[in-house]
Amino acid sequence: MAQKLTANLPDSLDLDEKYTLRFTAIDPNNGSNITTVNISSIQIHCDNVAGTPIELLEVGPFQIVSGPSS
Amino acid sequence: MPADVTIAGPGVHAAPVDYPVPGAAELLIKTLSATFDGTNAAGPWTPAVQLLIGGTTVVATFPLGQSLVAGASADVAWFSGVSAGGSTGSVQLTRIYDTLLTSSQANFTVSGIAQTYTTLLMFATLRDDFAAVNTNCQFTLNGNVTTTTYNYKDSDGNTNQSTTAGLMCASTGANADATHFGNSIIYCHDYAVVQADHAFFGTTHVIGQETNTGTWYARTVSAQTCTTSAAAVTSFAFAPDHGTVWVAGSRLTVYGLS
Repeated sequence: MAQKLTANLPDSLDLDEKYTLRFTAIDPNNGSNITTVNISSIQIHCDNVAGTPIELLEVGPFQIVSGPSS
Repeated sequence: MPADVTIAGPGVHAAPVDYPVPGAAELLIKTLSATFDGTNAAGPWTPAVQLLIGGTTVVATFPLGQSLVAGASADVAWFSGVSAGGSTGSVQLTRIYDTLLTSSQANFTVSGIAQTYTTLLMFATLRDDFAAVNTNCQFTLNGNVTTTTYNYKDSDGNTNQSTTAGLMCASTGANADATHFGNSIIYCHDYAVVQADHAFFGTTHVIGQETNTGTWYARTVSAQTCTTSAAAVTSFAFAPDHGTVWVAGSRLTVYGLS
């Protein structure tokens, strides 16, 4: 059964198109990506500050989750 | 008022998984979450979120405050206000090694120890094949089996300096009743710090009946082994001091404490 764990994010992490947000698993000794770890159920919960049409926030396999606030 | 949005990633994908913020968009991140499956990981690993510029240059890394062992899985959530150690104010105890022998084995070797904990805490249940009621356990660090960098002393008066192995704890031997094993607790604080004199402390309790005579015996012994090598501890091994193998039923469990 997967452990439930929490980690820290800085306050007010404001990202524009210069940035890529990466989910990964790293080697604790050297920081390299460990590609044998699989990642699923990714969710990015954010404020759409610039008011971009939400369909334009869908990039590649990333999709908007429908809901009252979407 | 900026709209609250949730963006979901692909089903199952090998790490890393990238979301490039699309052109003209500006996102204020509230929380991030994902499920990590380390079933196929070969060693310790750490879930992390990173920021990249230009899609290639990592400018920030936000790791979970602990490493996970190979085979572990975790649902991880990132949000502000969480201490670097994981759940706010909590102590993290991570099992990094656990082997119960089903057949004889020459030693327990623990390698690839992540350098992210403050203390190593170990529990050992040991019995070897030496023809005695109880005996001792030999201990080496970082694969050093030929360098004379070990000093040890125990409460029974066994002591030596500049040897090729230390004494760490005790075990039962072949003459003890079949169901009896020595039980030990061992720790090393600041094992990941590069410093002289990494010290491992162990205490063993052995109690049981000698098979040949029916005589009851009991022994409590504490031991300390330290090494004059300053290198951080990345591996260690337990082997019988007089016997040749640990027998089935022997077990070593190692935790990282942070």
